[in-house]
Amino acid sequence: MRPTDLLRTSAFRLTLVYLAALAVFAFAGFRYLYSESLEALQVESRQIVAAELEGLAEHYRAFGPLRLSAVINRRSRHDGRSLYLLADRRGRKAAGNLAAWPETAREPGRWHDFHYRRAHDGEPPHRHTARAFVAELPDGFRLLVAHDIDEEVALSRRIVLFGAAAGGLILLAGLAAGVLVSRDLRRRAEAVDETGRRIMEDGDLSRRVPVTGRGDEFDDLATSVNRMLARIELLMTELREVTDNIAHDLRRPLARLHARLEDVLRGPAEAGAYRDALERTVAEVRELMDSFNTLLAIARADSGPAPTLPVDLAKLAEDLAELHAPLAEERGVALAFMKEGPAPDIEGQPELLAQALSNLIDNAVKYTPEGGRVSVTVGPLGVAVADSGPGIAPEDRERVLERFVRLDPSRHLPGNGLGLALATAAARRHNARLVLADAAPGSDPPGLRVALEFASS
Amino acid sequence: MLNILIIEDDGETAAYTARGLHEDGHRVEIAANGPDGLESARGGGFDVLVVDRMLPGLDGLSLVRTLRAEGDLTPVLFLTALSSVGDRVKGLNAGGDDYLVKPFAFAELRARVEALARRRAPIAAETDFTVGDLEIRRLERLVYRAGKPVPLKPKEFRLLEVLAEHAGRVVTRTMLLEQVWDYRFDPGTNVIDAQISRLRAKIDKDFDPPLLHTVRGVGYRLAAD
Repeated sequence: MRPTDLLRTSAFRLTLVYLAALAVFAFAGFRYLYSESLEALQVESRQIVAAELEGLAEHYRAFGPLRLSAVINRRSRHDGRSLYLLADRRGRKAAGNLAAWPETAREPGRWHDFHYRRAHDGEPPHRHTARAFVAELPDGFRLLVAHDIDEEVALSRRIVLFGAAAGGLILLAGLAAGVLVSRDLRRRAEAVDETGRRIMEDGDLSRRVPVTGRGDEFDDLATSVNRMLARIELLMTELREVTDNIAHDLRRPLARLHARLEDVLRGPAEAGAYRDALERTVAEVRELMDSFNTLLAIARADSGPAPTLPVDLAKLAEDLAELHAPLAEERGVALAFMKEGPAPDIEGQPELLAQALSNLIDNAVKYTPEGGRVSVTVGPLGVAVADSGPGIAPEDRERVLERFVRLDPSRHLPGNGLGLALATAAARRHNARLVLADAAPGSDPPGLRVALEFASS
Repeated sequence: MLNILIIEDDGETAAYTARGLHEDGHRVEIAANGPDGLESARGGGFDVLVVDRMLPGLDGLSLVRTLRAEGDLTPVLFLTALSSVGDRVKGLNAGGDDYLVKPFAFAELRARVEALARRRAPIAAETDFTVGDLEIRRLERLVYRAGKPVPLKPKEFRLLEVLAEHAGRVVTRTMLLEQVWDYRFDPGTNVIDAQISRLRAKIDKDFDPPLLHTVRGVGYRLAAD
């Protein structure tokens, strides 16, 4: 990652802002601490100087300049940290261990810091710092008492050094952490970005964003993006399948139609033959359109969200049973509606469910021989249509749900083989199952019972 | 004779539809895009508008919405390739009166256009119907044939009511499915035929002349001729 890239990451910019704020506050705090400790150090040296000065001044007032000079000279002989200089009214040195009056400490009545040179134990003289107070004594004498504050200066220097070092280290560490965190965040964001970009490039929807397993917000994001990708992939696959199937399913009847029309054209040019062919063609095209519409309905049931409405399953089933009853009666089949307890509360597409259930009833009436029975039963599980027809062998039950599968090889009954496929799609749409079973197990014929069972929610 | 405006951009569908309606003795005008259609419709004088949902310039929904906003209540039959529940509801909300999904049989369109033209004056719920010696008392929900009461189940009554609303004209099977059962799918045409047979057995079997006629390949007609 180049530095400019780093600057573009939000994490690093945030780090910089935090570091700046930290620096401002740390500096202010340090300054306060520094001036407070300096103050405390100064108090000590000033107290020493003040106490000595007071004693010496008293001595002067009591005994005069000569005795004071003697005291000062005696004290000066100690190689201590106190410095003295007594000057007469002409400014000449009268006593003390300072060679000359320091330039920066002339004004009486206030504190001065000044530098002087001092030798230690035979070493060459060093520059030292001292704190002095100058007092004017009666008769024009002036007394300077000072205290060597080299240790104090060294200490304050150490404090500054330490503060600067600590501050610098903290800022550096912060910056380093910022870089590391930014890189990490950037890398993880790039993983999402990269997946998206590659999907855009090659359209491979099976790609997924890596999930680290740390369970953090990036993992949440990745999981949610992956879920979305999985959903899109599924929908795309389904869409492709449906398109393929529709194309495939419609090719056969179209080819048949085409062959028949060509056959008629090759035959004798007779109005009667043409008319017959046209009538058959119109009927076939009508059927083809019905198939196409049903295929569309299946595709629509299988894809995407749709308005969900509350469905009164019992009423829906009863109405449909009533609708089919006259036809059943004409065919000598007794069609009964029964209610075994309350129907499940469901939401969905009433029209799709009605169409599905209508197909089930239609099939039952169609395949039940004269004198047979068909029952439409609503119960807590859903709705079931049972008949006393020939039934479907267990090995065929899966297959018969597919599009265009018709078990009746002679195909003497009308139908396009899409009824159960639509019912299956409607069931899927409503989180329900289409369960095929013998209506009367053990009897001959066993009959067929097709139940639309809703998952208990 | 009806004045019919067809607003449809597919020239072949428009011509085929117009020819059929013209042969029935109606006066037909065609507009090939939305703005032209709106202008023609604003000219007024039409009994029914047949409007395609997808039109260049101005889509059918907006066109009808505009007309309705201007107070034009001419009945509208939408033609569309979109057949989902949502599309239908959108069409009806925009002010359409009926909805026909392409491809359609001409007979279906004719029956619906004629039904719409007739429906201009809404039929009050308390109006009784009389067809020949068949009497339908809608408030009491009673039916008499030649003065004799005919007991009908609720759905049978509704079936007869819809046929009587369009008395003298053809009502198609899909119109019956929509208006009696509120179904927009095909449960198999024989289902309606069987329902009609049962109704016929009640109102026609023991009487003369028959009132409930089958129009082959199209639908049914309740008439005293």
